[in-house]
Parts: sequence; structure tokens; C-alpha cells
Amino acid sequence: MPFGVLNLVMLAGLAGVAIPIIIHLLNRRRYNVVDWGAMQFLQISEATRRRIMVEELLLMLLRMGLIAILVLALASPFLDSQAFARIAGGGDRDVVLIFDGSYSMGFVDKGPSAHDAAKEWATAFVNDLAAGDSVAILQAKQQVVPILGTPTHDLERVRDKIAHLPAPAGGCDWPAAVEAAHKVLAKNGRARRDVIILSDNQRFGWADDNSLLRWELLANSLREESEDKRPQIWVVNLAPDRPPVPPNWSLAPVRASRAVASVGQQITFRTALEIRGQEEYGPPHDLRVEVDGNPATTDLKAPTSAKLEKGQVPLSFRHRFNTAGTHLVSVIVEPDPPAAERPAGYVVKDRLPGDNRQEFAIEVLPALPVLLIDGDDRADVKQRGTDFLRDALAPARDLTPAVLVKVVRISNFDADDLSAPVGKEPHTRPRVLILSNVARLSGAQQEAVTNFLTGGGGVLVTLGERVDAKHYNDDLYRNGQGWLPARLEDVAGDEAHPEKAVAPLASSLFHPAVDIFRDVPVGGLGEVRFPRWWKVTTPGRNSGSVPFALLNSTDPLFVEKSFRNGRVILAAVPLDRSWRTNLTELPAFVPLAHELAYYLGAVRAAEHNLQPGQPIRYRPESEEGLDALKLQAPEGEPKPLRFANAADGASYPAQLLRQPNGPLVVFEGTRETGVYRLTAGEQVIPYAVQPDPRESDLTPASEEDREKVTKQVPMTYEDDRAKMLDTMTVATQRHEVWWLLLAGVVVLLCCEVLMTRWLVKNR
Amino acid sequence: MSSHIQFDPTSLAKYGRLALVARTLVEGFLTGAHKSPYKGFSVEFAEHRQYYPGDEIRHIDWRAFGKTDRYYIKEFEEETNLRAHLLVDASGSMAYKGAHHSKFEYAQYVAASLAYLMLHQRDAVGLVTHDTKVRQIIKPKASSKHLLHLLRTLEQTEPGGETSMAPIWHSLAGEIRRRGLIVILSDCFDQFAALMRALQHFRHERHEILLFHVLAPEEMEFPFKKWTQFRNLEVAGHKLLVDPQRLRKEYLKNFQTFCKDLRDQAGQMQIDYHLLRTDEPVDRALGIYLTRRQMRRS
Repeated sequence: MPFGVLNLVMLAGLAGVAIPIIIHLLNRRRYNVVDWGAMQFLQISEATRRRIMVEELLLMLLRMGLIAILVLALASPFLDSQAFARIAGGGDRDVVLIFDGSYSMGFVDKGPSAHDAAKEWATAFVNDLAAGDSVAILQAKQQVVPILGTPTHDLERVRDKIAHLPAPAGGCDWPAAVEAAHKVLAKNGRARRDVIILSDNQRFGWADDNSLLRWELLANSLREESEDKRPQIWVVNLAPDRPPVPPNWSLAPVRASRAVASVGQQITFRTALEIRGQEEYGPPHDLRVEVDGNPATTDLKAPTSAKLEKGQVPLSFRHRFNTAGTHLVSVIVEPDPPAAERPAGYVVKDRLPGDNRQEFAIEVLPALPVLLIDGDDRADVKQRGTDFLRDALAPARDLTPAVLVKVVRISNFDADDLSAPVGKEPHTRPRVLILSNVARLSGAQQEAVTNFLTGGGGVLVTLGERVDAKHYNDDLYRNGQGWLPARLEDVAGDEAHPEKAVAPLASSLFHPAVDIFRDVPVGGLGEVRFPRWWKVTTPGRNSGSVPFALLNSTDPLFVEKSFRNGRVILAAVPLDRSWRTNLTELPAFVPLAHELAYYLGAVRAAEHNLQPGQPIRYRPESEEGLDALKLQAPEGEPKPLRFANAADGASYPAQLLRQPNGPLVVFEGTRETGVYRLTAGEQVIPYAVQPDPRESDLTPASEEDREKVTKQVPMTYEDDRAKMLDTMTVATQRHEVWWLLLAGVVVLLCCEVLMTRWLVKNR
Repeated sequence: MSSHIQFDPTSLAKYGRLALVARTLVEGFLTGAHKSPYKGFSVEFAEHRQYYPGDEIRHIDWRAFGKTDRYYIKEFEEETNLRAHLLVDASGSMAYKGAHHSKFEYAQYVAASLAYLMLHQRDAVGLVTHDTKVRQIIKPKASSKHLLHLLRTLEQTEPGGETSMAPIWHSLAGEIRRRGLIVILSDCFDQFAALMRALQHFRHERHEILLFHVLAPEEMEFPFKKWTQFRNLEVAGHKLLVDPQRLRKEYLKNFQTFCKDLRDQAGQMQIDYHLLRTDEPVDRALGIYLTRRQMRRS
């Protein structure tokens, strides 16, 4: 049972033990001398002499002991003993262990990964804790995952949780994790509080510019806490030997040319190989694509040689989906052959396997349902303006059109049109609403459009002759508050003077909906002439309205605005043959109509590719069968969704929102990165929760970086984990026993007083 | 002589001489405290009686014969019917001096005063001083010149040496044949049993004994607080360094037992025991003596 003192200098005070002896000796030296006659009466008996001597000796020992114990107590003595900790009534501290949950912890070089080292360290640490200590466990990811959200004294449970800690995946939000740890500790009033961060000292997520800003914000909020309530923060570096730029291959996030595709449509996917810690590129052992977990045949091929530009080798591949539904496209790279197949002297290209896979979920529709509202209310008209758009989107001769269009005259348009299927299939509710040269909307129609946008719909508004500018500005634009992206000023140009017509500026075609026309010299948008057009103005840069595709009169051709969950594009021209434009005659018209429709139809596509913490939104056709919904998290078994508040370990909590356009199921627990699979009947809908690609940058935090963080939130770094364990263990087992000695001082003091009183009484 | 110093032996001691001290003390005592024994007191004449043949002719009162024509014999009191020995203990322990006079000085005053008083009463007074051995023996005489001799001897005596009083008293008991009064001034710090035997010897010789137990108040109360080295006044080099507070209880118990035993034993032997504290006026001893004389006469 090792023991020691914290204040060694105080031990010099032990010299004070000699004080009673010195006083005794001084008393004996400074005596009075009396010439005495009655000596015979001073001759006391031997028994009395012995008793007096024993009493004197006892008293002196008592006083010496008193001083010795007092000095020892002041020197802050401690005992390193777990047994003593139990006798003394257990531990007195709360500890929050924060595991770095980012995939950089999976880096393997020599020995175990930082993740395994963290588990080993934490287990050893918990083994040395005193019985009364309590532990909470958090896993720092892009969203903090509470493994043990409240401190528990059940250390066996803590060990079990550590042993079954989820594998590292995704990125890491350290300030959020530390803030969560503060909140965990704030609930308890224990005197000693520690937050132990187990990380690999990666700079990204810890000391990059964004993180430093977050630390600063955290520091500001922590300042409100009183000094003594702040826990002590320790940072254990579990990868101190990791080279500054280790060899690592990763994949850039996958991007698709269309977020929503139709069956049979060819989609182009783009990604890139990101190579770190290597000067030259060599082809990977394997590079493949999987669709819905099955190998897919694509034209993806890793180049045999390439020049690294900013460490990247761009990749792209095309794929057609033959079935409708949401498909998961996975790109997987294996830079190195399996260990058994490697030749002697093989130099490993990739030490971090966690970033060798990218997922992308894409919604494939049989056809995009579009509701086209014709502003021309006349019944007996042979040729209507909307015919052009209808034919462009869904040609009459096409048996399997990419777009399913339903045309409704404005006078017939009501809310039911937006919730009823466009085609015969039940899942063909309109995804896009086109208001084609509509003069005005009634109150009910306005409300229907607003609800449609709230439900994640896309609206295209084309302006023409009939449009009532005052109504649009007053009721739809509402000074920037409404869903209309721009204010209508007046009609510009003159169709009698086609020579004065305006054309789109090719240089302004930087938008996903129109960027295919950027490099099209013949028959592209650049050849379109607009003799007349609506002059529209946007309220300003911060209004949320973004003009794209400008005319060469610098007036906007299209203005886009996100409104609630939906999106609106305003076209300053009718998108038909009126006003003598050549648009409908050019080959660009059909692609433009498709691009605009699919761009607006893809508003909900973002719901399939999420950031951690973003909720999963599922829009069932009806509320039937919702109880059978099952969700499978990246690591785990499928569990049913429960809409009641009482969620248990066997199910996931979810919310059911009833919206005008149909029910909406919301699940908010997307903390883990990876693929969540929602099973609805026979349909399996994947949701890709994507990690932060910057996590692949394994650059360690420098001393300067650490200082920057410590300046905001004080913490102690330790690169030697064994030493840290010793420090923490000693701190754990170490029990200051000054209080025990002080109690001894009180007891001895009482004894001394009682004995002195007794002696005086007996004189 | 002013009256305020008459009872204060301490201030009188400054004058040094015992004669002056003794006379002042006795006369002051007699005039102040009691009726004067000199008033109407005739030490010579007692009564007339008829002459019988054989009486000394010089005792015939011729004046009475002239008046009455009868022979009357003039009778006188016997003047020296008391022979007293003053035994002054001059041992080392008597030299103890606390806040007041040393016990020996006090014994000196008492002895001188008693001698003065006795000689005035025509009693024969002798003096014995002793420590380890008898230093001086002055045989009792009733003459007034004898007083100076006694006082000078007392003045010249210094206390010192180890006392074993019992053998000395034994030898004195053998030497003082004629019975009389033995006035002992001593602290009696000796072997108790031997001391008792010696006193018994005096009593056996039919002496009357007036034992003045002279003690210092410090010896009776033991008021010492600090560590103290007690140096034996009788045995050179014998010293004891003690914490007096720790010993006090035991000391007082021993001391009081000794005093009580001494008083009890003295009572049993019909010895007049009187405790004299050195912080008390000396005339208390005179009072005791006179009271005793009165009682004896009556």
C-alpha cells in the first residue's frame, strides 16, 4: 500500500516533534533552587515515582504524536490503495470518457488501431477506478453518440459498453462532444469531475478553422459556469507515433448528374481518388461499383497512370437504372491486395480503410409526375401554350416517357390536384407544379401551392401575357416574404422588333438545371431570342432569391428561391411560342424543360443523402402499414419504428406528421454515418448518411494547434498513454488521508486535555 | 520604642541584637496583651508566721517585733523554683528560609524572649544548642547577668550540619538530672521513632516538655510551581530536581502524616506540643508559655 505526501516541504515541520522534549529540557534547565530542610518528605515511593514517570512519558508522547500527526496532515498525505478507497467509502468523482468515433481511429500501422488502443486504455482505467466513482461514455462523431449518457457506478456495465463500442466511422465534432460531456457532468454535484478525451490527435475536427470557431463558441458558453464547476479535461493521444502524412487512399463523395432519375435514364456519377502520403499514383488493387449491394457493371475504371493534381485522380462512371425506387450506389476502392497476396517488400498504399467507400442514394422514378396548370382558361382553343411544355416533357408518341404530365386549366385547379396521383399508379403524386402563364391564383389555390412547397414540391412559374403583375407582387411575392422569387416590374421588349430581342448570356449558365447548355455552341440556349420578356427584380442578396441564366439585357431569365421544404423557379418568359420567341423551335427546348422539371423534382432527393443528425423523412402513400416500418442502422439489426413516445431498445422512436400532401415519417437519430435502410413492405429505401471527407486528412494537431484549443478551453494533453494511465490511476487510487489524520489530531488533543486535567486534579 | 513595631519581630530583627528584641517582645507582650505581672507583685515577701525555735534569726522581722512584741518570721517565695532548659535545634534543616525568617532565626527569637521572660520571673534558664552534636550547654541560672550570656550564645550559633536529634536528646536526658522544664525549639525533622524514644527519655527523667514545632509556611503548604532543585540543607551535595506540582500531593500527605503523628505521640506522652509557623508573631510562643505557667500555678 504505497503512500506519500503531496506537500513534501511540510514534512520539515516534523522537527516540531522535538518541541515537547525541548520544552521539557528547558524546564529542567530553568529551575529554581531552594535550600530545603524537609527533604525526607520529598522521598516519594518507588511506585509513585514510576507512576509519575509513566504519566510524564505518556503525556510527552501524546504531545509529540499530536505535533507529528498535525504536520503529517498538513503535508497532504495520500494512500494509493483501492482497498483503502473501499474502506474510505468509495470514489468521489465523475468521469466522462469521450471516444473519438471518427474513422481515422481505425488507422492501422504497427500494433493495434487507435480505436483498439482507446478501448484497452479505457478498460484499464475503469479497472482501477474506485467503487464509488461513476463513468459516462460518449462517442464523438459528427453527432455525439451517448454510449452511456448518464454516469453510472456499475463499472461492469461500463466495461461491457467499452468492449462493445461501435467501430469508428464518419467524422467528429469535438466541441459538441465536450459540450455534451459538460452537460452530463453538470447534472451531478460531485467534487471531482474529469473529462477524458481518447483521440488520435487528428488536426481536422480538433483544430481546423471551423473547429477553432466552435471551441471559441463553446468557451463563451462555458464561461457562464463557475470556475469550480468546470471539469478537468484530459486529452490522451492514442496515436502518438503516427507519421504526419501517413499513406492513405480515400474516395471523394459521389455526385450524380441528376438527383432524381427516371428508369432507363443514363446518369453520370463523379468521384475522385484522394491520395495522401504518396508522391506518385499507382492503380489500386480493386475499384468497383455496387448498386444496392450487388456488383454493377459500369464503365468505371481506375486509370493505369495519372498525374496527381492536388492529390486527386478524378473518376466518373455512367449507369442506367432499370427499376424504379431508391437505389444505393457504392463506390469501393481497395488500394492494396489482401495481406496474403502481397509480394515481398510491398509498400502499403493505404493504412486507413474507413474512407475507402462512398455511398450515394438516388431516387429512380418510373416517370416524374408533373402537374401543368394552363393559364389559358378558354375551353375551345386548338393550340394552347402548355402544349409545348407538355410535349417537350412527355411526347405523345413516347410510350415510356420520362415525365408524366397532367394538364389542368387554372379554373379547375384545386388542392386535390396536388395530392391526387397524376397517372394511374398511386405513387404518382405531382412532384413538380408548373404554373404556365397563369393570370392569378385564387386564395385556395395559393394555399394549395404553399402546402405543396411545404411538403417538398418544386414549382416552376412561367410569366407571359396574361400575368397580373399586381396580383403576383401583392399576393405571391409579398415583398420577398411570399414564395414567388422575384418582383414583377413590367414587360420589356417588343415582339414587333425581333432584332432587338435579348438572348441568354452563356457565361451565366452556372446552375445544375442549365449547366448542360454551357458548352453547347449549336442549338443551345445561346441561340434563343426573346423579343419580349418580363423585367423582374430580386429583393437583394440576402433574400434567398438567386437569379441564374441572365439575359444579355442583364435581366434575369430564371430566378430560384427555396421556400420552406420546396423550391420555386420563376421564368421571365412564357416557355411557349408566344411573344415570337424561337425557343420552342430549338433543340435546347426539350432538354431545358426536362432539366428544369428534374431539377425541381429532385428537391426531395436531398432527403436520401444526409449529413449526420439530419432527419430521415419518409413520405408514405397512406398511413396504412406504418407499424410495419422497419429501420436498419449502419451497425445493427432492423428494428421497427415506434411513433409513441415510449421507445425502448427494441425499436427506434420516430414521429408521424400529417401534412396536407400526405403523411410524413421523421426519424431524427441519424448519428452514425453509413447506410440506413427503411423497409416499407417489400420496398427497401436506403438513406446514405455521409461522413465528412476531410476526416481522411490525418494531419496531426501541432503544439501550436493544441495551444489554440487550450486557450479557449483549458485541457491537459498527454502523448504517453501509459504515463497518462499511471497519472489517472494514481489519481484514482490516491486518497488523501489528511482528514483521517486531522481526526487523529482531534482525538489526541482530547486525550491530552483530559490527561492534563486529570493530572492537575490529582495534584 | 514606638508601639507599632512591638509585635513585629521581622522589623526588630533589623536591630540584630537579641537582647533588645527579647526585651521589647516580652515587655510589649506583657503590657499589651495581658495584665502586667509587675503591678503589686512582690517577689520577696509572702507572709509572716510565728517564730519557732530553730528558725534563722536573720529572718525575724524586727519591725513587727517592735510593734507587736512578738517574733515573726518573714517568709519569702522561693524565687527559682523552675529550672528550664531551652533546647534550640541548630541543625541544617532549621536554616530553611522561605518568605519570612529562617526557622532558626525564629527559634532564636522565641528562645531569647522566653529566656528574658523566665529570668524576669526569677526562673533559672539554661540553653542547649546542638546540631549533629551538642554545641553549647549553659546550665540554668536565675541571675539577670545570665541573660546576656544566653543571648550571646544564641547569637553566635549558626545552623548547619546533619541532624540526628534522637541520640543527642538521649544524652541530654541523661545529663540534665534535676527535673525541670525542657523547652524544645525544633522542626523535628528526624527519624520519627527514634525521636519519640528520646522524648520518652526526657519524660522518663520527669522533665516537663514544651515542644515548639517550628515550621516554615512553605514546608506546610509546598507552594512551588516551577521545576525546582531542592538542595538538602543538612547533607552537602544531596539535591533533588523535581516538578513540585507533581510531587505536592505526595509531599503534603507525608508531611501531614508526620505532623499528626508527632502531635498525637506528644499528646500521649503528655508533652505540650505547639506548632509555630515562622510567619506568626513570636509572642504567640510567649503567650503559650505564660498560659502554661498560669495553669501550672493554679
